[in-house]
Amino acid sequence: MNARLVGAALWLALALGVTAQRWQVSSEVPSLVASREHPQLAELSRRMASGPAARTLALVFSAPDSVDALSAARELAAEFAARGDVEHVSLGPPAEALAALEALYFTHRFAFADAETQRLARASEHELRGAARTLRAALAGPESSWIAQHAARDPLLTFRAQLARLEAAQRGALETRTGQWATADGAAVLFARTRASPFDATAQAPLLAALEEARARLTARGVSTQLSALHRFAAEAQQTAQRDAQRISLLSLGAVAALFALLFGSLRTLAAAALQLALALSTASAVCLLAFGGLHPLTLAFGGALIGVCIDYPIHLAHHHALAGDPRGPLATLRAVAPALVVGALSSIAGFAGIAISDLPGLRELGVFGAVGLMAGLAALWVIAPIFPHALAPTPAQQRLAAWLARGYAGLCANRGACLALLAGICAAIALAAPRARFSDDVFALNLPPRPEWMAEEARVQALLGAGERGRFVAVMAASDDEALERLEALAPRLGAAVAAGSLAGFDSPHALLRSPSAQAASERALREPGFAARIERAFSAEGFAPGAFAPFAEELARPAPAPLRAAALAGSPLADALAALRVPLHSGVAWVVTLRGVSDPAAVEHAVTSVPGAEFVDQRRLAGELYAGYRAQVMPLLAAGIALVALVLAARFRSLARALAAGLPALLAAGSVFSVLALRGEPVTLLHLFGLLLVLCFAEDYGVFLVEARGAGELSASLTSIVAASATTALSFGLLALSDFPALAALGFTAGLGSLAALVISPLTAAAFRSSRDASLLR
Amino acid sequence: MSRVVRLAFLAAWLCALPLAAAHAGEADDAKLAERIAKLRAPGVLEREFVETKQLALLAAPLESRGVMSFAPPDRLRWETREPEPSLLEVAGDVVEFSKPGAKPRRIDLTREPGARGLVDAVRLLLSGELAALRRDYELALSEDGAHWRLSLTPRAAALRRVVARMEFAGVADAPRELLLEFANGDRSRVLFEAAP
Repeated sequence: MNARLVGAALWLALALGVTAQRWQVSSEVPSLVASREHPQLAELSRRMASGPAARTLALVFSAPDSVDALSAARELAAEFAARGDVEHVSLGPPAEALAALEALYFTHRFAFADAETQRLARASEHELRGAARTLRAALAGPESSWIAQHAARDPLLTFRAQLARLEAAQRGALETRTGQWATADGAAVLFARTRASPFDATAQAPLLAALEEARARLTARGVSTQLSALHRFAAEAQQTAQRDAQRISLLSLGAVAALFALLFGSLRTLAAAALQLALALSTASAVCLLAFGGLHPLTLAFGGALIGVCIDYPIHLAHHHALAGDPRGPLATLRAVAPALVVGALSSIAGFAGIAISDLPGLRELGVFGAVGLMAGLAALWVIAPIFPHALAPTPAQQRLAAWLARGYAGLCANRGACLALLAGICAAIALAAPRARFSDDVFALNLPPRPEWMAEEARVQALLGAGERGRFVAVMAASDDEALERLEALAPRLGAAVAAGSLAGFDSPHALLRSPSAQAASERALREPGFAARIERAFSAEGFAPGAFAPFAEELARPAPAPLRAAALAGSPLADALAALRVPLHSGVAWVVTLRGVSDPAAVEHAVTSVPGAEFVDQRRLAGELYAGYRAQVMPLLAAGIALVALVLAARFRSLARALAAGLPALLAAGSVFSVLALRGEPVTLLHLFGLLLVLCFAEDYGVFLVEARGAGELSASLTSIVAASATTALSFGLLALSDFPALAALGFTAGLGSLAALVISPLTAAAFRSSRDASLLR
Repeated sequence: MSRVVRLAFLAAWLCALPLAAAHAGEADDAKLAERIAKLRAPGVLEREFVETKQLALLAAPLESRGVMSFAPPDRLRWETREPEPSLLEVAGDVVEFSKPGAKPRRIDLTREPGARGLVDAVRLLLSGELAALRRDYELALSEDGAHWRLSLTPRAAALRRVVARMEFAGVADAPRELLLEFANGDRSRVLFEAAP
């Protein structure tokens, strides 16, 4: 016994150690999304989810006097800058931004000439005189001192036009006041980029707490703030899941403890069950943390619910040990009930293994957690069995329950026809109701619904910043930056046409920052049109410019074009942040993101995009829905195959159709009944409902197997009491889960909780229907 | 006169020189303060202007006309009516520049040292901010009867890269002329007339 307990302690210490060391909870929605069909998009989604743009939170400060708003932004910026969890704070563009942009782009201004300027290079002197008048008018205006600095080298004002494009790309709708970002109505804006992913709620919690405290402090001073941050949605999802998990775990454990006290009256039995649960859950957590690097809150809460299934094993063992125990001790009793436990557990593990091979990472995590948890729970029985008392005397409550159940079951056996009729009725009801089920493939609906007031605030801030739509953009993927930029250039006129057609309000393409080397070379070539400098000279002289004033321009055109500007050169410039948000390196290439504003006709935008190779219109919600629907379509045959496999296992084990039906039918009928209830309620069936049904199949099949495996009156009574106790704990833990704020968990809880009650009713009915003659004689 | 007496006179004269210079400096400071104080606009000041730019790029001077107004302490409006209409409005550190048919553009003066220097010079003069003017410019005043000229040479290198010197001139209390000498050699002369 001691060796087993030492082994259990080591096992537990190892699992808890790994769990504590690797503990990481992430509510990242895209972690639910991956696909064999869209590997690059899945990778892009993942990278964007933890990329600079997603890690950046924006705060807008408003006050009656904009000076106060700007001052509040500076104050908070200083607080952020002092924090270790904030990577970068931006109050405004760097002071030297204009000089840095000039250093980068002025040399390349001919490479970034717009189409009209390129056309002018071939235009007549008459047309060029129009350009001369434009320059003259600009020189007459108040900006003349700045324009005059560059005009001798840039008479067509190409650099000025490029600066305007860069400003728009860098700032969106923002302007600057006293060097700080500000909205048009004078509100101050602050950007802060966190080191950790916004979905790493544990890492974000201290920052969010400090932020809320600062916002309250500013509100008291008359400065109102608005926040746009994915971080808080993730944090709330994690807190809710953890709260749910804690509540469910504590209540489940409390209920289990009360049940053990009532039925077994033995602290050692309770301690053994608690140790088995600890081993099962910590092992599942450790394996998932090692395999996936983190746990989704969904998995965490699901883990709490798994208690309801794992506890069935020690309950079954304890009932058998008390009511039909082997006098040689609990290990001998365990050996006696092992076939039932192993057959029951293996079929459940097979079900979870089916989920574990999913290509959706979040679901794979859930499947691995369930399969490992059940395996560990089953294996742990051999470690914890010696903790049970050598002989466990049945308590009066247990005896009364056993006697009452035996009488009830005998009554069922005596009315086999009625049992069969009831089962036929259940089958008919399922056949009628099930076709009415409707499915929902909104994967975002699985997560915690975002608070409407936060969503409204998010939308207001995004509008103030002039940012693109969240979740809808165009991704242009290619093997290299050069190829991607060429594709972006092919895409821009198509999106422009979509804007003209009203399908789209606007878009921001990265090609404002950078053009492909081929486009840069083409622009340089266009401006080096023979005779262009001479025509400029004549046309501008005719409009009153000094002869030879543009000699520097002519000299530069005569020199070879500089090497094209490339993405690497922008990395250390004031445009680095804008570039990082738009350029996403992938394993096999790179993706550039075009942000979209006001998509009113997604189909038209998609149509405009598809003709460009490597370009994809990404609607994350729709994409996730498609992948999810695909997965659901994939999981249904897998479930059917799993059921067939279980049927084969049962047939091989029992070698009798009646016994196999008695063991397997409760699972099908219980799952079918719950599915029918969902259909009749009009509740859309989600993937989580299907998981709930999978759990129902697992434990309902356990109940059937426990009853069929019973070899005598004592064992039958023990099995009956154990399935009542198991059903009670399962219904309780999953029923509590049904109260979760997480729609996914509520769906899982409702399905499994109802399923456990259905299985409790159906398994004795089925056993009585197919095993009445044997069981009636046993009970007599 | 003995050699000793001549040396004593010389010593006394040498000692008196700095004293005289100090008295002259104080007198100049007083005149400058008086001039700046007189330039302070009591309320909204509005003047028509004719600006003549002599730019290296252009064969002939470029003339523009419009109306300038200043409302203390820091609102400046520069409306060009000819040859191309445009409007530049300064409020605090924000400049809004607009032209017919184009989206107005806002410029943050704190990020444009050249533009800020020009705007500040006008604002500080018309607000009578002598201390601030001294902080940012070397000032030199010359007077000839009722006529005066005040020269401002920027102290900051960032501004000197754009503007080499500014000069305001006027008669009595009225500023009549602003001369700008740019670092690249271009010049701009603005003549002010009271708005009708």
